[in-house]
Amino acid sequence: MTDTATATTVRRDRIVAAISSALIEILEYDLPEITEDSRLFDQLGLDSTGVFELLMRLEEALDVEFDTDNLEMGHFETVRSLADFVVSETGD
Amino acid sequence: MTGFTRRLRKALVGSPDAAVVLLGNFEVEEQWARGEHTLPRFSAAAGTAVVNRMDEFAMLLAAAGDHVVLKTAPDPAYVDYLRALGLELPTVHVVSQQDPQRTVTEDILRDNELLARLSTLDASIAVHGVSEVEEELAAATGLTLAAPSALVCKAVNSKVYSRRLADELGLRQPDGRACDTLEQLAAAVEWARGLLATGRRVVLKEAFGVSGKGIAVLDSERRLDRTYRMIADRVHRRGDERIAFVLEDWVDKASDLNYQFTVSRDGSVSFDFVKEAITENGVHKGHWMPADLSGAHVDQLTMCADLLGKRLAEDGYFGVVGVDALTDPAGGLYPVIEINARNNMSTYQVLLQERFLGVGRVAMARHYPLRLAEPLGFADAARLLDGLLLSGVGGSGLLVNNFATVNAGARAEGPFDGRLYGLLIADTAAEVAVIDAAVTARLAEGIPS
Repeated sequence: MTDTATATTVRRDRIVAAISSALIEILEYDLPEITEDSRLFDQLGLDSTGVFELLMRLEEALDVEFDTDNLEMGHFETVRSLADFVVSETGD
Repeated sequence: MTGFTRRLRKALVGSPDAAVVLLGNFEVEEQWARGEHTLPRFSAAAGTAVVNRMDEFAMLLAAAGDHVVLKTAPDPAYVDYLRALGLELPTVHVVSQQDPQRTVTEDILRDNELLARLSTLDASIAVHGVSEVEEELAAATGLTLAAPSALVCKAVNSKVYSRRLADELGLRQPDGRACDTLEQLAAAVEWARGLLATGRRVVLKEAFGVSGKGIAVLDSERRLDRTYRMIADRVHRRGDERIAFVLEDWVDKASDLNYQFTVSRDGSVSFDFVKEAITENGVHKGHWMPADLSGAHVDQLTMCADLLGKRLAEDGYFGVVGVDALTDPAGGLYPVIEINARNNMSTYQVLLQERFLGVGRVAMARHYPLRLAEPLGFADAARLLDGLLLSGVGGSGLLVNNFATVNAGARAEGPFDGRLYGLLIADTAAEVAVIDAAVTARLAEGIPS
């Protein structure tokens, strides 16, 4: 693996970990194991208010500010789709 | 026709026996919020599909001479079940092509044949809530909309209106600020800093949010400032300075209440009921009826209903009004948290209460979330719940009051989420809990996902 690819993987892993830990704090109950395929709304039980808190927590954990106009519902389908969005927003 | 049926028609049309065309256009707030500055808001497409199928609740607000338009025909076995319970059912019209993401009103507007058929009816249109889309329907059919204008309905549903009205009437509400300019919001943010510094939380609400959407509970200055910047950025980008938000102290509560009253065209107000809400994470799950409230609290709410109703009438409103209220841990009452000048989920339960909930009996209205591998017919659901469904007046069991929401999210392939809505009726709360647990267990065992 090249250095760039390794750096990208590390960054993505950090984002996925931040998403998982934010979800655990917001949903305040024992979650089924969170994977990149976990569906935020219908599997983990996130709701509209929770989405807003998730955004706030991710911004704080990763020290970024998202352009909320770029956010679409599809980004919140799964942990993977959200991680993809965050990667694209925080890319160099 | 029963008591509420007649009272509603008298209020909306002026005559207790008037025939109406009922539409269950739930979450009319989505229409009211168009063009408003909002917080970033997201809802699952599957969730919208389910909400749009709440249209079927309208069948249970109807009398025999009424009409109801639905997005799809009700399951015939479900209709047989309702008839067997002795319910009067209306004439049902079905749109020729439904889009799960559209409300029933939007579907009708795309169906010329149905529009033509509706235009021949001798009835007024009575809807869940009035937006410009429902006004378009009235214009397209030539039927009278038994409601005030969309402009009035939207205005009195604003949380900004509600805060100012409660202040004016001297009704207790959480400390807060109503903001219709960015400048006012900036001042409210400065006020909220003081609250956060004392360890309290604040809540920012869009004036036209619904079901937990458009609400942010904020516990730090960093989040308060970030949320303000999100709104300010949007305002600056779009150049429209007009906003509608309230920023409030997030008060501790012992229970959520919902009461309903009806304002008649002549300005008279009748108190319909108060229920105790069951909510999870701000999302409405159901209600206990009757609410476990002291007589003093009920008297207070009845008095508030009268004050609010008279003032709403002065501002041009008539029809159903649902108000959210709270009790605090010290036993005090916040009688006005939010005014919803439209039907509420509970509105569609009144006729069922009148028929099946005799004196001294209790009911819990709720929904069961389902994850289905394929669409579930009512006959199969009834078999699954054999012995647990309500079978008639005086009995105990689950009364299914909407079946369209079960299969609303069905897709060409793959599992989907649905909701089974019902009223659990029994002699005691303990008996309700037993039936509830049995229904939950049977659904979990019997539905392979």
